[in-house]
Amino acid sequence: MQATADNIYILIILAMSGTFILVSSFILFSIRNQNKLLKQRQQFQQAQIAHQKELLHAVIESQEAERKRIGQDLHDDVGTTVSGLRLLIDMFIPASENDTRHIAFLQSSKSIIDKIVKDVRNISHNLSPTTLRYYGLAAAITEHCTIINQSGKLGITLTNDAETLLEKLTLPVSTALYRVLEELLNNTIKHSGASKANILFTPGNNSLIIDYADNGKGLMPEGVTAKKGMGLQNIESRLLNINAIFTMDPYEGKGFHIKIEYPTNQSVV
Amino acid sequence: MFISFIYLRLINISMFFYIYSTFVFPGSLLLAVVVGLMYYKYLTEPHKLIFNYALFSLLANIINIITIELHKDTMMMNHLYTIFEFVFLSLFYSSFYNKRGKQIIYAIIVLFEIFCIVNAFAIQGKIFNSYSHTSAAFIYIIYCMLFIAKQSTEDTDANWGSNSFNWVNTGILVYYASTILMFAANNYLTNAGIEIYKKVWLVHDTIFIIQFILFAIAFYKCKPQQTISIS
Repeated sequence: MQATADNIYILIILAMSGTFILVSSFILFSIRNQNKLLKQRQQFQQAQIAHQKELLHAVIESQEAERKRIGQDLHDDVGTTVSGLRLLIDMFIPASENDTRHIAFLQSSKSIIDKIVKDVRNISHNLSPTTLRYYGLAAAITEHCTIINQSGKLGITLTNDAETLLEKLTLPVSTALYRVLEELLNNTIKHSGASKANILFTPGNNSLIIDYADNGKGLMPEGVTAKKGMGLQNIESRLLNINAIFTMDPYEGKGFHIKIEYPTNQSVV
Repeated sequence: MFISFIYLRLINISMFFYIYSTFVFPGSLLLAVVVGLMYYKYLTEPHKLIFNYALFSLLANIINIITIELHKDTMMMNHLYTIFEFVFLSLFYSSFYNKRGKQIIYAIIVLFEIFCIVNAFAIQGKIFNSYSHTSAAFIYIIYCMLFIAKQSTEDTDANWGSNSFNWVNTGILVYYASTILMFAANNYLTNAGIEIYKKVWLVHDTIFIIQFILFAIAFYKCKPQQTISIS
């Protein structure tokens, strides 16, 4: 009887151990399979993202090249022609020196031409900022802020605590960040009703941090507004292209704040 | 398991069994409860059901130890434990289903509780409730397999370990699948002698400890991970 009882417990312990091993193996294999599938899917997604980034990169590059070409054409061709027209009007001598109608025509023509020259220069600078190319992001954004401050549309405070980092940025990165800040300022002026905006450049841990804030009505979440605006999409695309990350404060009905972080230790975009 | 099997050959089995079942075994329950309390604010409703189950098991175990020390019969406690355990675990699994699935599980709970009560008073009142315990284990295994089938089709975008419910389900599946045969044969083991009975329960306790360690990991996994929104 004792021998039979011994057998029962040995058999039960063996059965329990066997089931334990069986179930554990089943779970471990299913975990391994699931993680393997996940890894494959992630690799596929990463390849897709990389391809999309390449396309985006090409689009942005060609866009910048086109902007530069149009800007130069405007500046060199239209600007020069209009300046020539101004000289031509200056050279035109009236039949009588007391011809008041002629003097009035001369003055109004010159003022219109001056305005055209100024506008053409502004448009061509916007399309392809020469300051950015020759003096870097800090100078370009300072110039842009000065123009806006002088127009009285917005009071911008620019603080630059990362001068060395900004000087080291490559032209494509500087252009991307300039376009992003330009778009943010444009959004603030057009949509937010803000009176003040702050831009702060600070060095981070192997990164450049840009804090942008205004005192406007803020940006409604995507679900509330019909869709994401073109401006915000442009910002996202530009930042994606240079591998920068951004975080926006949640909508609270007042003020807008975005923090952009560009990793400075990555290979040149 | 094998370590404990060899170990029980080497030292006094009674002393080892006493230490293991009185301190180590409730210690694993305490570990799950403490981890659950630490991350309680992050626990969702299904997690809280498992936390309550761990808490209930801890209290039941303490009462069981005290009752044994007082040399009182603990069989009725086994019946009660099975009833409450079934409610906690069934409600946990019901939370993964839609209204229809929930209704089916609620019906299973009601029917099973009736069966447990009938079993406690009319069939196995004075002995270990092997019928109800084994049936419950069988149902839990079905719940676990259905959960795995559901998760394998739905939860495909995340790492297995990042889903805390996977840890809970693994604990339950490993424990009940491994011990179902022991529950079924428990009354035969009781007749085979106390020493044999203790040896089998040592193996049971080890698997039970593994289950509650997996629960503790599940509670720890509830802590939200830091995420960065990238463009």
